[in-house]
Amino acid sequence: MTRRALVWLRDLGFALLAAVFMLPLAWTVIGSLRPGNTLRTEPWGLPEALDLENYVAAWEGDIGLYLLNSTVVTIVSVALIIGLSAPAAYAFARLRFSGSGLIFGFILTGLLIPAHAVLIPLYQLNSALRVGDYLAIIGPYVAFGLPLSTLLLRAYFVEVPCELMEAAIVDGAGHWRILWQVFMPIARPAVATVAIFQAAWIWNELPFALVFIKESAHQTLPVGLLSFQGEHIANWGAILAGVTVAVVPLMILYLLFQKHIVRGLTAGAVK
Amino acid sequence: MRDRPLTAWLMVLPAAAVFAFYITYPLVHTVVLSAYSWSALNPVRTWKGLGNYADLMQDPVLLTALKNNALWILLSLAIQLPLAMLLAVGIGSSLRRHRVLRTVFFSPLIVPAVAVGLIWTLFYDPNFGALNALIEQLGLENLTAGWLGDPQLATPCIITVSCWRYTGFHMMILLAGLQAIPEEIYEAARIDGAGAWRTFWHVTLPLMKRIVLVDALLITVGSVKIFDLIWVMTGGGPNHASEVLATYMYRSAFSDDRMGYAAAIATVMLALTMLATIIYVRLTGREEAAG
Repeated sequence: MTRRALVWLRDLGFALLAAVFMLPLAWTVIGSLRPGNTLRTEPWGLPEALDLENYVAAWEGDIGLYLLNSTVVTIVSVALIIGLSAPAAYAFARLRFSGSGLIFGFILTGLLIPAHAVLIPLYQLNSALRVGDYLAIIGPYVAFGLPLSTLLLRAYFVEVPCELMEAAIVDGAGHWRILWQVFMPIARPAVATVAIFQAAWIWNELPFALVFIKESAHQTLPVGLLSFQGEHIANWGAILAGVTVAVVPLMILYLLFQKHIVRGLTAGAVK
Repeated sequence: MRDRPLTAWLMVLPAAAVFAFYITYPLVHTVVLSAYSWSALNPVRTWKGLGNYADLMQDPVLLTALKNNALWILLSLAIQLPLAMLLAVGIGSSLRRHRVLRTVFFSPLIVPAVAVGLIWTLFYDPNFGALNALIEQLGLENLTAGWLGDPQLATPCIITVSCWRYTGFHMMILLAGLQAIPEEIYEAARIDGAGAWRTFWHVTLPLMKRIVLVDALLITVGSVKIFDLIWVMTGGGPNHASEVLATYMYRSAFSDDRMGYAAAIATVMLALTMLATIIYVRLTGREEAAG
């Protein structure tokens, strides 16, 4: 076989694998556009006409509210994660102080700790202090987001040329100004990577949301989807419409930022 | 230039404090609580010492959970690592042309686990599911199954879903390692007349050993922590057949209201992640010593 044929065969293999990977998602979107009850008799059919009744059902089932709750929680958490981890990453990368390595290692342990290992004490704390639903979940989200974002940002900050920092110091800038005005703009790929990974994680998080959110009106999408499914157990079309609505915002975010992701990871992964 | 330590501390302290408050302190507290017996309804704690752990060792459900977690680790490593490596090497060779493919393989990670679980539950449905329908259309009626309702099949079915969701993520990690290998090394291998297969085994793989080990650790720890997909798809059933430590811990704490017992299960999870980490550190240490 010629080399060209081999390359062609390899690409065909990848294309087939890609098709298999996309199948469940394609099935979801197509299914969400078909009348809810026909899905159960003919799971592989195509929509006969553009039918949005499932999306109406999803909307009436409060998916819009869950979407809003998740958006608020995700944006606030990601902003706090970056706001807290960027200065820490800068100090670990560029300032010498005693205990630096120790504290960095201490924060990195968080990469491996299961959420379930802190669930009960935090549940008790939230009940005892009567912490509001949003605060109750944003706290752990931020804490669990810190290790990865500190790691990735530090790795990127280490590679910023020394001359840039020295020039800023000659201009009389302090470390805080150097961080926000010199380092952060340079580290855009790393910040984008951090933002997308944390947003995806928080948008998807289940155990904390399941345990800590008391009011159904405050539910985030994962918990909301579960209650929605419970109410529409036989209406598969509506379930698939709810799922589609839950997926779209992050997909858009991912497609916008994806070209940064490998670059942002590379600095972090090779160290 | 002299660094003023005060600035450094002010930069590090907020992050370290939040981390300690929400993770380190509760972690230690969980271990302490595992020595007590109490419930949310009756919050008076009675000292139990190692009693919860003694009960755990007698508990058949815990044994099932441990076995299932072991199966999760083994199958996830055996399927995801080679597949992710194949994708990374295949896609990494010409980035521009394969940007679409990269997006495709990564995209399941963006879908919330709950949504993934709901989609695949409908897919696997024994009566109306798309999978059984497909199998019937292919004329293989005797291969249709109860899938998630079958105690033997439930766990492998959910692991399949997990592989679908996470392989793209591991591909990204390996891709990052792959791109760190200097092009000149491949040039040299080509000049020496090494084919693609030999280049992979003797050049690419040895240089990526470290990142492959990191990825293996992530997969292992992820399999110890696994919760969402199982909770959504089977809730640990049928009759505890797909139970893992995390689902059993959640059930013990928030359905059965056995808080101390649940804290003990959480401590076991923690111990297992620590064990996995120690093994990994040993392995990388030996790697570096061998040069």
